[in-house]
Amino acid sequence: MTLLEARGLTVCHGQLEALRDVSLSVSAGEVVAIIGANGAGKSTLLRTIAGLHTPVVGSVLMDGRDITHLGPEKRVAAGIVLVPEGRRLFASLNVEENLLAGLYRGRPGAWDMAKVFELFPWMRDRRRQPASQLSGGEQQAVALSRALLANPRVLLLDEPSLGLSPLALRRIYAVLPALVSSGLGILLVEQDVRQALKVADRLQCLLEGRQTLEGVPSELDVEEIETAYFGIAQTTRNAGA
Amino acid sequence: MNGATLTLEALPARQPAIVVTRSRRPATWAGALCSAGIAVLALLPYIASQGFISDLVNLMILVCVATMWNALAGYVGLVSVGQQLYIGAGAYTVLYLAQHGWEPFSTVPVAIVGAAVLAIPASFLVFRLSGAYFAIATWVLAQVAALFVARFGSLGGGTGTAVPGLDGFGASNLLRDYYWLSLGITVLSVLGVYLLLRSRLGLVLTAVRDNEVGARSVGSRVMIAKRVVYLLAAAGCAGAGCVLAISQLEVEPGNVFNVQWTAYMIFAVLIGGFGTIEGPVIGAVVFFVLQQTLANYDVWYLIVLGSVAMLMAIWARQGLWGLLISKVPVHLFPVGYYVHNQPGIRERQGLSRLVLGRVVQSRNRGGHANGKPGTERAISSNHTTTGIAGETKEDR
Amino acid sequence: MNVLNAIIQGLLLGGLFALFACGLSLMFGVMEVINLAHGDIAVAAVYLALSVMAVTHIPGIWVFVIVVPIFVVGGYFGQRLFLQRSLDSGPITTLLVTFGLSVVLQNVLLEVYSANSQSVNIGSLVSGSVQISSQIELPYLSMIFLGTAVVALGAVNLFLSRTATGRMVRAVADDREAAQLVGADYRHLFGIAAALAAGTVALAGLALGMYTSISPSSGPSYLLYGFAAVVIGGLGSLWGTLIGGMVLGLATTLGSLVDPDFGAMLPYLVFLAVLAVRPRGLFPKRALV
Repeated sequence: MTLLEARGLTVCHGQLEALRDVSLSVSAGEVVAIIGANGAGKSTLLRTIAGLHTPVVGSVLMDGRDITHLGPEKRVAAGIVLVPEGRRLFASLNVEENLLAGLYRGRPGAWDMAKVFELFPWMRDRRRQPASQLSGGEQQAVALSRALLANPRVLLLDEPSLGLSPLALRRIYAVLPALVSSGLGILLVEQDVRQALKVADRLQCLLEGRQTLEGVPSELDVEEIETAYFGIAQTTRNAGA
Repeated sequence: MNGATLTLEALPARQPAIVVTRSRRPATWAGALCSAGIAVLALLPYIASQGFISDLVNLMILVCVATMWNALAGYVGLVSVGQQLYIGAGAYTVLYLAQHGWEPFSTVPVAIVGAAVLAIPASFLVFRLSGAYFAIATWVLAQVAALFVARFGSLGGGTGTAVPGLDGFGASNLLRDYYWLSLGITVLSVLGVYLLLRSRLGLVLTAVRDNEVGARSVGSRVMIAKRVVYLLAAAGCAGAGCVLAISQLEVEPGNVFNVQWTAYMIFAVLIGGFGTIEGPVIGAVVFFVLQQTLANYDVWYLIVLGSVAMLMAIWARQGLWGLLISKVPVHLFPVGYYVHNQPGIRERQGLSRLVLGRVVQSRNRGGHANGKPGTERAISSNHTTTGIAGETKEDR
Repeated sequence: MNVLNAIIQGLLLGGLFALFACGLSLMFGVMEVINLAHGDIAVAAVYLALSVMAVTHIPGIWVFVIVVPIFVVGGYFGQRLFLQRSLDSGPITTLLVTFGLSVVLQNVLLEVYSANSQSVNIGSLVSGSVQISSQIELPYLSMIFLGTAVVALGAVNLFLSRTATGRMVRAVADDREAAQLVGADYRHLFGIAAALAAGTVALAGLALGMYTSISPSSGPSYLLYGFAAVVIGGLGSLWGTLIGGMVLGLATTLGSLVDPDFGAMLPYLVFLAVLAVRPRGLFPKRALV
């Protein structure tokens, strides 16, 4: 059943058009991955869905309800939680306090501190440690847990692989299947295309703010993806000067 | 932004040549009007009453300091809450030199230059700071100066003292003389800011106002530009201080170093219009009129003006002048570039950056040879839609 | 002898400066705003207290029970309804608006209460001190002030570190956007910070009003002192602010040993020196507690 829908989103940063007519949907229990080069608009897309940007055209719907003009704080209550690019933990708070922040305005649900400590046992012992002292992978785990504690129905993950060692990356991705099987929908933005292909049920590619590809990973071939990613065969570029 | 290019040589020959000028017709009229106006003002002491002349002096002090504050805040983005430091410096230099036998009016150039010199080390201290730190540092400097000066009994200590050498004039002659002094200083101040902004340095400043990081990245000499403006503002305020010293016949730290002057400057500029040359002038006039009108009601004028200024800061930052010219696009003090015969170029914010790098200024010989002046478009750096000194409204 | 006394007095005075600075530090840490009207709010608190005392005849030492909550509530709504709008416009606008507020507030007080210096009469508690030795005495009042300052700062600290809302105030100071992403309404949290700032500065103002006399134009000096304490102690750190306050208190009392005017000037000179050499203060850490 479709949880999240984005229809024809066009988003501008000042005079720069970051997204043009982008649509997607996420259903319960599925992972949708968005890939694309730097600056393609992937983060903007997630941030718009999370409510940090308002589209000039288009709408965002949750359970069929139009939430396009809902502020970011209210979207958490609606069940949309973003794990932002770069983790963005609260630097002056310790691990436990960061996690508690997730509970602050979260929805009731299965996730609580005990469950988080079950998932990441090391956090229980180091919960008084300042968040700024954690490694990249540990921070990502805390950021993910903080989001889960809000009991989202759709989880937005913005480039979880950024700044992570391969081992840490694998650990984070290892967690995803269990999340998904509990009915959570995941919208994932990833620069690491291989990793995205491995976990995604559906794939979308963005190039310069536009959708260039959409499909199921098993049905797409590498060449198609490359073309969509790099846009070499594109003929719809603007005439320059 | 991708589409506009101003490399004129690249255009095919049969297109009409792009003409870039510094001003349009209204400005030439304004220039003539201003000159006439100044001439009239200069002759006023012979026809107007002493009370009126005295009022005009106070108005002109206000115009002068408001223009100086606006040059700092509106064009460079340095919100100073301590310009009274230089007002006091000017006043006390006049006092000090007069006490040592100088003819009071002759001290004025020294006081002005002295203040600019004083501003050099001050700038090295305060330029390391920004925002609120900068503002409060300037305020503290003024406080320290006031406390410092008050230690000297010879300068009148905490209660002030009279400026010697002024009794020989005769009241009406003195009034006329310091009226002309104030007129001269005010005209020079406004002219100084105008010429500065028209110069290449001025282009740097407008770029800084729009986007400082962007300006630096194009290689503009931002630091020098800022320092020049800071020195100019110091000089202008010192000039106002000199007029104060002479017109009030005495100098007192609680008066010349009072943060009240900053309040006057800020309110005048916020009401008249931030970041334009015309704005502070208009604002000073409005301020002055209200001050006089409500003179019988203690300090209500400050309460009213302060409240209005606050509201305008939030909701109408372009001020009265900005509101006026949004209806009638006129620039009396043109500091931008006007591109004629190029319908594709729309007024852009921050275009001054492009212009800074690349424009080739050309004058079409013999008037608008290609016939149609109507298609001219303004790349006006008098205004941006980004608001005050590079801050933008969040679009979240 | 005098030096030791001056040191002790300076430390006691420092507590008061720190209480002044606490609100500034909080507002700057959380919203990146320096409220230039901060000192004037303290002065307004004293005048309100005088009016309340005139009407209700509550003894001076208890008037804070009425006045401080009024300012806490006023601070919250003042932030949400008024200051928030200028925050949305940008930092320069906020500087200008708070400056305008300062001037307007001073002049309103001037109109309503006249320019005379006033103080809060708390009766016999003003004088009276503990004699430690033949040279050193600790005035009751100063000790009460230091005690109040420490208690108040401690309470704010506890609120920020132990309560959920306090935690979110710290979170929003660290990263406003990330706080929004966990569902926090940053405007509400800004209001809380402003409420705390208004409450602590009102308390500090009342204390000052009992210690010395104030007039409508006293506000700016307290703002400058408060800001100096914040800068010296290191931005955003509450305990650093306490140290900063004490440094200023010492500068005031030790400077006064030279002469009273120097005592007024020395704190500013120390402030300028710190700005020149170590603008980030003695204990710069971006955290609030």
